[in-house]
Amino acid sequence: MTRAQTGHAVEVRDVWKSFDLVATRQRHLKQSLVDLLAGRREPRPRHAVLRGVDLSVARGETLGVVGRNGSGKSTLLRLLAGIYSPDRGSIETRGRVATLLELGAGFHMDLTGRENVEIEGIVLGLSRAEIHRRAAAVVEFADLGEYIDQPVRTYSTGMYMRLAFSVAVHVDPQILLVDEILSVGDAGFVARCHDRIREFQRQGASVVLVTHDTGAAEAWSDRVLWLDDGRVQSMGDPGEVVDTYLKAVEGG
Amino acid sequence: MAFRDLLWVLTLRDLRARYRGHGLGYFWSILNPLLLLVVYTVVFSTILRVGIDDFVLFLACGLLPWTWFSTALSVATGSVRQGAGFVRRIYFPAQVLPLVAVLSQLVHFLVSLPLVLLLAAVLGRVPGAPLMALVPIVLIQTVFTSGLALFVSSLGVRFRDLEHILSNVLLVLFFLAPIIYAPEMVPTGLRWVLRVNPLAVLIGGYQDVLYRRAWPDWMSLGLALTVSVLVFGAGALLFERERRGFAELL
Repeated sequence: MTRAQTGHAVEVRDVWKSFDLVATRQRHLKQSLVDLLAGRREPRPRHAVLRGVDLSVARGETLGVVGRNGSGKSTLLRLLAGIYSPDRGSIETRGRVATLLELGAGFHMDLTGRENVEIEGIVLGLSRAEIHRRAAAVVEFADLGEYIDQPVRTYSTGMYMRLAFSVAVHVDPQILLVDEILSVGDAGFVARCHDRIREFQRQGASVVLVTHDTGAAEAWSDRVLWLDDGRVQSMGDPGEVVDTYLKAVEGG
Repeated sequence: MAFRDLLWVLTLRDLRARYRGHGLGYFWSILNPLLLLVVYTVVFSTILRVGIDDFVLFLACGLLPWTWFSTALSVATGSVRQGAGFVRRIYFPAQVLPLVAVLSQLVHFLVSLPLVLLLAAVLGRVPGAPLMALVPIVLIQTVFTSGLALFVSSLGVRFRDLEHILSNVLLVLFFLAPIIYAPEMVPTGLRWVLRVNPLAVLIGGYQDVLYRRAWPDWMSLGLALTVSVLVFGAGALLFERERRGFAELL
């Protein structure tokens, strides 16, 4: 317990990750069998996305991650979530992980908002008893009025995202992984989302925030990591890292 | 346990979505087997005349478990891709996806069973105590189908043409089980096929209980159970090995 309290929430050591290039990902079984019988082994070109990343996030710390498109930010986030597994290196996370990635992608269009809340809560790691206890709070936070009992297919994009966000923030994660800070719904809702994330931070949850918005990275983070071409370019004080990053980007 | 909750809630989701809106949900879930039942009965008792008494009941005993089996596998093949919304977003035990396909088709099978019993009653073939044997038979079929579902669903992520291949395989499998013919009609030299095919054994079991009103052959069922457990183990292993790469492929 003492170790858990003083230790890191996230610890990443020398992580490498590459992907099959898109064109070769999906194959046909028939073709594969023919190749196998003919003794052909197709070369599999791979693209290295992360090349030896080390980082750690302390309990209660918020780490901002900035970098150009394709620098490996989103891949890093998915590795932290356990969605991808690394080719080399190790990733350790302690505590329940929630992601704000592709919000609501698992909703079933023909079911009501309320029914989807139950499913989503369990998918995010709650037990049925837990999600039943929290359902009222989720519904209140999403603030969808009577729509909560309508099929999700009748929702606008904003409503849909609100519901998804609302479930994600009510599973009380110890580690929250965010891809792009939110711009869901009206200003009032965005403000409440931000309040909620601040609350997490106060309660000692760790946040990893991937963003293009360097202003947000500075405002939210205790430290910022600049990822460049799959490597950690620098990590440290938000103001300093963002400054050097911006200079590098503007300098071409 | 989280996995069980997930299995339960996703199966319920499938069923709710299916029966939602139209009160005809139950009707739709039995329409296809019902239609096949009528067509086959007309063909095989008035045109081709296979000479099986109460052919419609005999056929129902094989056709309904077959529908469960084949539909579950077809749905399972694309189940992980259908569930990409979960797999790409969060650490997720994707095994539940094919298992949900098997379980929700099991529910459809179970709700169609009263129809068979009704048919049996009308034909004066009310099953007796052997009806209890349906419990182990259904359980063995669940294990067997789940094992194959894990197998096809893990390959289905990588190989897009698997669905087409599977439908052809299923077409052949249909004739390798005694659904539209009785085992006695098969030449002695070929009967071993029915003995080693777990699906044929299971369908024989349904017919023993619901058509012949007898206890099933426990020896054969024991063998089918053994094969089913092995298939399940192999399917689970393959799935576990492939699972790490799913999010990248979707």
